[in-house]
Amino acid sequence: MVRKPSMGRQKIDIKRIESEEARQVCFSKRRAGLFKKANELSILCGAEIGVIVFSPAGKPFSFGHPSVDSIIDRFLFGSPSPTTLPSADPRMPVAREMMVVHEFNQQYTVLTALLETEKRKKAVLEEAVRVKQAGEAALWGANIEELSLGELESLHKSFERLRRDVAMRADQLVIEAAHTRSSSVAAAGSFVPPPPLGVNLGFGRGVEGSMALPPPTFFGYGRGPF
Amino acid sequence: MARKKVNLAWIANDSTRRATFKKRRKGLMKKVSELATLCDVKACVIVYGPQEPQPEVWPSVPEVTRVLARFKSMPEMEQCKKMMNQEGFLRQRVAKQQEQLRKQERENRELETMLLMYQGLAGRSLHSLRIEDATSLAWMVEMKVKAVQERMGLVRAQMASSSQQVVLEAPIEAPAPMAVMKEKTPLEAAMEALQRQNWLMEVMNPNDNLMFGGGEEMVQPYMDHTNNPWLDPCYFPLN
Repeated sequence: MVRKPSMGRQKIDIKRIESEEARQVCFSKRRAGLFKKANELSILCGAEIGVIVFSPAGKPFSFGHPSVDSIIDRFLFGSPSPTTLPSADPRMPVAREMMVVHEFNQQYTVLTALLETEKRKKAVLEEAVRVKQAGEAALWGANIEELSLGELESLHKSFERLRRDVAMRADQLVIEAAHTRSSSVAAAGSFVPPPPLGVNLGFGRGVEGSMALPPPTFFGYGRGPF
Repeated sequence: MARKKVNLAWIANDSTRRATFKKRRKGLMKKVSELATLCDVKACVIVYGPQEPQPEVWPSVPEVTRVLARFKSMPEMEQCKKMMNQEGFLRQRVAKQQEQLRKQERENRELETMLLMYQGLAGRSLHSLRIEDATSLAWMVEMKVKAVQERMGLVRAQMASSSQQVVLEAPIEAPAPMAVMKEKTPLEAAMEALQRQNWLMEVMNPNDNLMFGGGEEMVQPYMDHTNNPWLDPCYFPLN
């Protein structure tokens, strides 16, 4: 599914936007952009800044560095910045502020790098899936709505078989884990019997069986797991 | 305008910093002016340069005072609700990036699980599966099984209904002939009961043209009296 790209940069007349909805959208976006620019200015140049805007509905939005209130006070009552020590360089922001900025920037950089890695991984995975769906996974990856009843039945059988196989592997893992635990505990002198085979560990044995483990919170995505 | 990425940190070089300051301050004033005009809103900007006692403001000192007065006159909560500062901004930026990362990791996990699923369906061994892979795969397979079952039920019902004379209006989903799910929502159960009753009445009165509209006086012996107005027959006109 290709998401339709937005219209891009359009030249716009600087006059009141007539459509109420468009005006609100414009406000949201531009307000965010304005605050972003104000923040950047405060960091890059060490300026003290205050921005106050009212939304079309009359709600106040404000940005201030060091704080909205301190800027208002300074403007209305001329109070100088209380944090300035006589020895400090008045041009440079205080050390604490610079440290905070630096720390957050570092976090941001790390996250951006990780995100890049994941994006590259996504490309690789998507290609692998595409290849499979063009080949052996043509039926398994097909859109269910487009399948015939015969194909659906065959698919159903395959999935049920897989469900059993996965359940077996999962049970195996649980038993292995219990064994490891019991063998390490046995060394301490007590004995923990592993769960008897054939016991329904409830791992995906069909609808009646309850899932012993909570479903991973990975899915439920717009695209759906198919 | 030079489009190199700027490191978001205080510019140590004095002349660069001064130049940047002038440029960006001018840009900021332009942006707020555009915002105020386009959206027909009141706004103000106050900028104190690093060594300037006097601020530069937009739109004008008297206007700024008016905007501040309006702002200050609002209840404390209103003022604070959408108040931002430098730290808050940076924090938010990090949080958004974190969310993007998590979203991408989730997507990738789903793709990986799909590949595992294809591997399993192709008959290849699941011996190397770790517990977390097994969990994700079990979940995905479960979802797939349910979806296929539902679809099969739908297709079978469609085929069955087209061979019978009964025509059901669109909003009623045909029930699966085989008991697929043990648990139905009360709505689904009641809808099934409604259809069963419908078919039954067809059988009892094969020549009657069964009109379901305005059937308040019709006795519905097989239907539980639920309080759900949705199931009131007058809402399901069949003609």
